[in-house]
Amino acid sequence: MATAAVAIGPRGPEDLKPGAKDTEAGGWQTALPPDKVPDNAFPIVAVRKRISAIPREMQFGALQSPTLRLTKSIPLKTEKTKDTVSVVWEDIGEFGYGGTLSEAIFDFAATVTELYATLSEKESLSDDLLRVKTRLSEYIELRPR
Amino acid sequence: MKAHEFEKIVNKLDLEVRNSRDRLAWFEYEGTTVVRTKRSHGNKEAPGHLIRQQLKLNEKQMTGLISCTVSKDDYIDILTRKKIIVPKSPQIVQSSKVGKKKPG
Repeated sequence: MATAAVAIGPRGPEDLKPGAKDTEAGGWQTALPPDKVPDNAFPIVAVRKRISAIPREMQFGALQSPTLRLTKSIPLKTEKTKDTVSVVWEDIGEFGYGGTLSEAIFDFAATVTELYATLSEKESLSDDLLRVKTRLSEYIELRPR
Repeated sequence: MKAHEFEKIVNKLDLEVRNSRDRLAWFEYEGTTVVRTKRSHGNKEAPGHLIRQQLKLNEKQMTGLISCTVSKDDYIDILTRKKIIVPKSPQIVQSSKVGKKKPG
């Protein structure tokens, strides 16, 4: 039994070439009329844009601190500009950035650790920073000795 | 945001800075730490919109801060209007001034 590939794209089999486009309308078409498509056909998807390896959202769970630990994961959103990747904890407006996602996450870990320590040291904080401190304490605690 | 632009803000607002893994900066007013921000030591351009959000400014105000149209006093005024800075009671200031007056 033969297996047939079904081309998806506006122009049929040509779109199976690398870099082929999908339909502008966002839908898909088969190279064959619907009544000629065999039952065992499998679809080949031609993607117009490169899919980024960087997820839009992620859960941060690796503080890498000898004195602090996370009690739950921190939700992060990622942003990518021309040559910089940023990860943002939107709730408190904290971020890390770098040339790669790994660098951004590492930077975020260091920043959050430093922020926790500094806010603990400061005697007088604005209401905004008090809120940040409270929020941080919901996610981070001192490691038991 | 380029490093020199960040440093311009640091100098203009007299931010307290600490060089750790990143360059951390804090704005203090009347002994209270009000806002914080940071940039990395490397030559990577810092995400300006995230720094702007940490400084509680809109785009126009941020541009003014980097150029010359927004001063430190203006910045204090902006944060006060946003109730991020809560000034100490004006009555206390007035009474202390009255107390310093020489008896007529």
